Amino acid sequence: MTWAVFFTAIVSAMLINNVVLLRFLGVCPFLGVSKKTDSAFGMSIAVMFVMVIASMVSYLLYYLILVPLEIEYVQTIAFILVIASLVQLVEMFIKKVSKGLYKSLGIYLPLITTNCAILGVAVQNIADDFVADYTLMQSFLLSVGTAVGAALGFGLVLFAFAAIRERLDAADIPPAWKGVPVSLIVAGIMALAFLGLGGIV
Amino acid sequence: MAEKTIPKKTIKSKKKELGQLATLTKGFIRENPVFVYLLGLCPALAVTRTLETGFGMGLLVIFVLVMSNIVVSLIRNFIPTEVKIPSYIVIISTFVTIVGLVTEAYLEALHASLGIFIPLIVVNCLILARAESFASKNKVFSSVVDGLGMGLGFTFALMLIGLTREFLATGAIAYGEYFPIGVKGSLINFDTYVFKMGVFDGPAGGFIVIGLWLAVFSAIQLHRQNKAEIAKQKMIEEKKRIALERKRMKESAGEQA
Amino acid sequence: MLDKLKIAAVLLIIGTMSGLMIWGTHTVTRDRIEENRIRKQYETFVVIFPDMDVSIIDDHRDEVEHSLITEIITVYDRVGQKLGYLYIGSGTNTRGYIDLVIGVDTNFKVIKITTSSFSQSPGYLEGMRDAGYFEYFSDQALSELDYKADAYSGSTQTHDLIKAIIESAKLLVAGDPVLEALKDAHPDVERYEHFTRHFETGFDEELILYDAQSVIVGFAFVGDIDHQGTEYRVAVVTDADDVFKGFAALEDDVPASLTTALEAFAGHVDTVLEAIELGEDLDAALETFFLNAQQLVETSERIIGVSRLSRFSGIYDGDDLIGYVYRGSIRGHNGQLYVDVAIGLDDVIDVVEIVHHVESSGYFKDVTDHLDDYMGLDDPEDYDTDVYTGSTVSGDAVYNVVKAAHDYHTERNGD
Repeated sequence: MTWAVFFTAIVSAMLINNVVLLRFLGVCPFLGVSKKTDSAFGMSIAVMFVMVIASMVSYLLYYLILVPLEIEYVQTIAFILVIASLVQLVEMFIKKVSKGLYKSLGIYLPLITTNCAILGVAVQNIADDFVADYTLMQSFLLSVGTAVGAALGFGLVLFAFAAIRERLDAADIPPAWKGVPVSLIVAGIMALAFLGLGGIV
Repeated sequence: MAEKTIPKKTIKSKKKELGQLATLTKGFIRENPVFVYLLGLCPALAVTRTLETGFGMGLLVIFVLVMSNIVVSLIRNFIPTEVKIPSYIVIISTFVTIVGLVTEAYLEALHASLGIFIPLIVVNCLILARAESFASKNKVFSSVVDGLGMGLGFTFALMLIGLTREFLATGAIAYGEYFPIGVKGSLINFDTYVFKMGVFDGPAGGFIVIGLWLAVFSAIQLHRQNKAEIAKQKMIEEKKRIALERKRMKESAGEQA
Repeated sequence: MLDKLKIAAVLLIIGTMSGLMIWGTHTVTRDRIEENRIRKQYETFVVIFPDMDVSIIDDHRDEVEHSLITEIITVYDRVGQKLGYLYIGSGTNTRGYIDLVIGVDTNFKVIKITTSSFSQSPGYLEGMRDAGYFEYFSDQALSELDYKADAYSGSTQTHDLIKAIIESAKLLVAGDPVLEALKDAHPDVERYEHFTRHFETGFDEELILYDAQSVIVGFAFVGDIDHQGTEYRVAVVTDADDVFKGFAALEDDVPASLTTALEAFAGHVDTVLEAIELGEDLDAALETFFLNAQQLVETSERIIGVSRLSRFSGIYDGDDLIGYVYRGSIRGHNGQLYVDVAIGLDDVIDVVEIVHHVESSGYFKDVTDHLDDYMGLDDPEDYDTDVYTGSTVSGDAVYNVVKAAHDYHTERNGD
């Protein structure tokens, strides 16, 4: 596994197979939080952090414990518990470090647990089956790369969307379309744009 | 003028009878989990390329929702508040794992098509929300009905989106591809469908179709709200008029006396 | 304290119940899931061998090492008759991976090549499929497989990966008597390809010999030799510099007398073909054969830029000699190019063919598309080299060979 493959994995997860727009993971927070750019920023950092760490821990958990014990089917429970615990840790950490941020994030912080993007990336890393072609260490690094790429992709799209959303809310839109419906159409157009990146690497 | 007093008792019992039926059907339009509460959007986007896959996912969600509602309702008095959420998560993920294994064994084609979205049922906010807000506070039977109602509504939403996308993209509604019912075919089949738009098969189309249906449901809601507003206004006008009438009658009675 | 205990107890109970239920479901569904997986695997095979009996399969997994092929499976039908072989290989490139299944019959003729699973950047494999890339393989002999060039331009990386897997399969084709015989004479040979050629008497086939890295290591000229009343296929084997490597009897049961006769030439091995003087007491048929080969291959002086140019054979119309074929080798962009130039006695260029190249298929297509422009020219300088945009090195290399061949031809034929 060369550096080229590693960086391809990052770019691929970030842009070519964008986590939100092309793989449909993390859409709920995507639509819910992206109303203001500052809370969007705080949210993305938190999600990115949990995504990368959770992927790493789940990957190791799967290959070092579940597979040798032949209980791979416990995957879902194990992963979600890892994520829930991580979110608890992050919550405690933020509470101690910055009460302001904790307050502004409010209920969205524990809701990170139910962010399909985090569990989705963790499960996808297993499903991609890197170990069929690489050693465990290389596969692990590849999975970290994918998680980092996915996290960056999530942050990128969230941020761009928040900026668009701010303008949308100020615009004159027919009442039935106001809010989420028109945002979804915008998301669809963004998805079309990202589709154009397919086949670059 | 004597006002008719409607006996309060009748209202209450009538409400209870309709209660269960209303719970079952409320999920379709009035409280549709996808279009009104915006829950479960990830699977709504990902598995609705065809009607059949949307239906399949809906079935799985109904199972998990109902089963976890039952369990949560059964042990609702025994779970300490501190470990509420983690326990719910464990219960839900148990049923998700079970449903995943069963699908992998007996509905292989559906399993391959739904892919990672089967384990992702565990983070479908709909299920956790119902467990937290309803099943933990109600008896088992009501919880079952609630779960069924919401689940059916979810399935309805998914089927609606899937129907639209599949029709716009291919001009045909296929069945039998993912469920081994022995027959394969199409409900409608416009071979000469000129306006086939492949974009609805892909991610962009998913967003757009959901946006469209959301706008429709939003319009329905707004319409209802408008109606309620108008009815309220009318009632206020009516009350004012009655009060004015009474006043005039009092005055005229006073004059006569 | 009691509270904490209560919490712990509740969690324990929930955890145990959950674990039991999952374990129970797993036990019930485990076999069914395994069955599905196997059935899915064999789905691909049954497409290739509809009559195969899935229960009798020979798996030679241990016999393949250091190869992109991971499994060779011998396939039988329900009455135990051998139907053929399946080569299953896989590989990865920067776009993802491909799992390939190559089905051949008992004569190593390809029945079908198909992918069992893949993940390449979207579009490439599908595009190739639609262009008939895979259908093209059916009914070709595995050892000399040809690729459909216009089906993969633009998907070069994907094609290269598939080609590498198929080449690995070729290397594993066992029991090819031709390859074994060629290897006896020239040990570096790993595979060969047929090449159509017009020949003077004595030969009807030419084989190009490659080593494991697909570099040309020699040539073999094949013909029938009458030995004691029976005809046998025999080849004269040379390396890439016309050095004689030996004779190769390309059939399985060759009489001892023929083998002895072949071995009489052993003393001339590793000498340049042209320089060999034959002695006495040689098998007459083989001697004629050998002399024909000598006549066929004529070395020339080193021409600047062109590594080697040799006049390969004459071109005949019935019994009349109407021209010659020249083969030149020259360094291209990625490696050696071998080009054949056919020039008529009237000094008009007939045909230019690329025998072998290792250029990037995408770029080289430009060059191969314009080879026909050489036809009918009696002065190679009339050729417009501006047609190569982006493939100048390869294009110029081909041009240099054509020019050198033409110069050589006009010189030698006295104009």
